[in-house]
Amino acid sequence: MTPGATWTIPLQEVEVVAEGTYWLRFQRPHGLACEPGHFFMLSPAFPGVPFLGRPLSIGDVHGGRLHFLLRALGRATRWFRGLQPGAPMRLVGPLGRPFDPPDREVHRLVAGGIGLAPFFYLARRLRESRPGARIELLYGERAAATHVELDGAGGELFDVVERFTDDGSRGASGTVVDGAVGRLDGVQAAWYGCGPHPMLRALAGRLEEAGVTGAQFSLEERMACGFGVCQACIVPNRSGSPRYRLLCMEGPVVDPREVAW
Amino acid sequence: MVDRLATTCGPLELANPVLAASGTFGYGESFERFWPLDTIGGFVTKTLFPAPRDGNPAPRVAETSAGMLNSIGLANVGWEAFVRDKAPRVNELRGSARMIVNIAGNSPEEFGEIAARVEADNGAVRCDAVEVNVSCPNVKEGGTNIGCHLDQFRDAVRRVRAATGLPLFVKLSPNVADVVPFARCAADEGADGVSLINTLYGMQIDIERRWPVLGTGSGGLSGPAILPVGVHWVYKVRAALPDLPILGIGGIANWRDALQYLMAGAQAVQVGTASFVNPDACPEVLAGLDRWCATRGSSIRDAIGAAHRAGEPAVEPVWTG
Repeated sequence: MTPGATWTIPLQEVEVVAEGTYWLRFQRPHGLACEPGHFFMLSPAFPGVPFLGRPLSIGDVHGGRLHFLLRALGRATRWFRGLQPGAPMRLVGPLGRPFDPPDREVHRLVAGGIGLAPFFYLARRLRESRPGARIELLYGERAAATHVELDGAGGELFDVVERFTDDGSRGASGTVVDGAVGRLDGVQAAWYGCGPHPMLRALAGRLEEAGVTGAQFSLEERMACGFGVCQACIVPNRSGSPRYRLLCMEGPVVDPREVAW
Repeated sequence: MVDRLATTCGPLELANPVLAASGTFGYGESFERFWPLDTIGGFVTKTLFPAPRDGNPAPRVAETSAGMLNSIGLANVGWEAFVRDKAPRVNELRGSARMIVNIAGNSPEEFGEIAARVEADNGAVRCDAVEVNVSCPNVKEGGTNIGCHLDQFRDAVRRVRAATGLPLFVKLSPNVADVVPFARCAADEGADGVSLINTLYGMQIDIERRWPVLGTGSGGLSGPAILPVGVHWVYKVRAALPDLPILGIGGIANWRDALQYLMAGAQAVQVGTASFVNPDACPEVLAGLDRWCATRGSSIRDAIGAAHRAGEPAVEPVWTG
């Protein structure tokens, strides 16, 4: 069980970093500690529109602040972008099962679009816990305009950054899964994935074909609560027994081989 | 001196009038991380069937204006697993909080079956009351909702009443032209009270995909959007059946909402969907009701049914914008 709690705190900053893409930042409340891969349910402290909280991976914990990377695609993510500093927000968390990095020389982080979000904090903690390990980020977007710059705060976190776009307008041409396949090089790397469901499904298939074990994917599902009560966030289990898992409790980080994609 | 928050709902004595509603509180253990369970007057378990159910395909929830739709499909661990795995743990946690077991079946016969199992196992389970969820499809009768057909409704309630002597509350569906005949039927069949309301039918269409959002098409609407519907039916049932105990449910997100239900005639309330958004909703509602009592030097019992008294209020309405 994760030690989630309810925090009502003011938003500190909204920073737009790419088309539709922005950081929400909060001062980290005293007593709040979390691991990479944990998520929080974010909602306005006085719910209206949006009504339900949204599950967001912790993007980074740095400089006494909590950082969440979002993309304005839906009702809540568009609304959050327009918030002013000081807006009272409710954070419920940390929730879920975080990443559990194995002891490897190479850690390969595969991000599709806004699936980049959890990898800043993961890389930061890998730097501390696995000194000397090489941290590689493979990062794909459909278009150049949505590519998040990684210089400054994010730049020092990754030893290698390879970018991909569908049309090659930023970085290599093709999807990040194509890029990942090119890295199936026999090195015993730890693989991490986060991104849209079709991307993760494709990546899971390629990793499995290559005999990669122990990969850790951070998935996303619709949730109303985030702590095992509403029973909305079902992911079908490959074993079929039980038929579903609740992603909020047995996730969001999962072994892709356990999922019926 | 009786505590200012204490209330009774028929045979159910409650330390305070705030309960957590079925389907929004797991089996009682899920909020342990947020606050002690004995903070509230009680809780209602997720609906339990005789056998476990996986529930419906995804997506199971969709946000609406001031609310949400769900089509969870009454996923539950089944009665046996509840008795074995859930009840012992929650009994350690709950202290004075009342445990109300919510039950359902796929036919009136199954309602009788599950009620008999509650009765048989209650030495171990130690629940304080049973709440019957009639808002589920009758599989044998072509999937029509038992709670919307008076004959099936009566059959199910009668079988439950025959099977158990525990305090019995029947949770009524608002998806009917008039809820009052269902409340009257429940009373006639020996129920100790009614819980109202359950969710309203609803659908959301994804205009990009030109297809319903929920995996099942339609679902149940809950949240602040349905508050006035619930208050309406509590008021109507109280007016028609003044002696029938009522647990008020539907869209309660703060103490003012809860007070509306009490004034409409409920003896206690259940907080549901609000707990998804704000896990502290139940204790916050309770704290607000306590402040309301303290400010007026009154007890919460003074509020119950207050909107029904004869004559116009002495105070003129003021529009505060």
